[in-house]
Amino acid sequence: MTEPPVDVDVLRDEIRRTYTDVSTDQDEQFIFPTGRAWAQELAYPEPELERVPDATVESFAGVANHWVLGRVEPGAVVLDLGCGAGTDLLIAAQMTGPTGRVIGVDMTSAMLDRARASADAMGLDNVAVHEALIESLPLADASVDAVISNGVIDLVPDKDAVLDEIDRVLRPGGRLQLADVVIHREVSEDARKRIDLWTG
Amino acid sequence: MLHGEHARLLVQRAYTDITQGDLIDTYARSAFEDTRRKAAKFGAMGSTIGATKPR
Repeated sequence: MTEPPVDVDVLRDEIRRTYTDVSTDQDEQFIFPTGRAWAQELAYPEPELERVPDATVESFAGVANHWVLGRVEPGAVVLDLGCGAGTDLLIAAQMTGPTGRVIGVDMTSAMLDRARASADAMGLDNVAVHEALIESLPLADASVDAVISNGVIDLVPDKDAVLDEIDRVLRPGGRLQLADVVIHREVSEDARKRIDLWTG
Repeated sequence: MLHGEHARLLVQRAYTDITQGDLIDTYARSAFEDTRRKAAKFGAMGSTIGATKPR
């Protein structure tokens, strides 16, 4: 692995701080769009979105709508990388139904608290969340049918490590579906060292 | 990541049925002019991609 351009621990701390704020200060304005209005503007799937409590959706900070590429199948095991407060996770839980299972992984505990509380409020018992890094997933090999993610992989310097972990836990024939930030112009080495450009 | 880099990493791992959705000008919705300016400078956009792991 090549040397990351930023101190990864400092970057993770900054991401945790930012997304804890997104979770706890839902009325605050952030540098990225958030909340139910943004999810609706992206045409997130209904009626699944409508059923997810505001406590979760008002912390939604996705960058695009990967659901336009397809739904997850009833009965599927779905992993949400960087699930945050759980908007995509709880939409997926409705799509898989009670015969399926959804697993959320995130490194921000305040977000996971919201995801758990909303799953309980919705009466969903097919939802599990884990506090972990997406470069080191607490899951067995070939244990999930689908991997989803929204606006998370762009925050990790080592993309190969993330893709390797996705590849490890996804079963052969399984589906990956994600939304992420892309750029159209190369970023200079100096700019890559700026934490503020990583976090938004 | 540069546009196209996600697809390159997936092709490298022999993933198939790679599909990409429309680009979204996510940061144009930012409440902060500085963020909108930085996003425009680097051409930062929201994107989607799907792919299937080989059997």
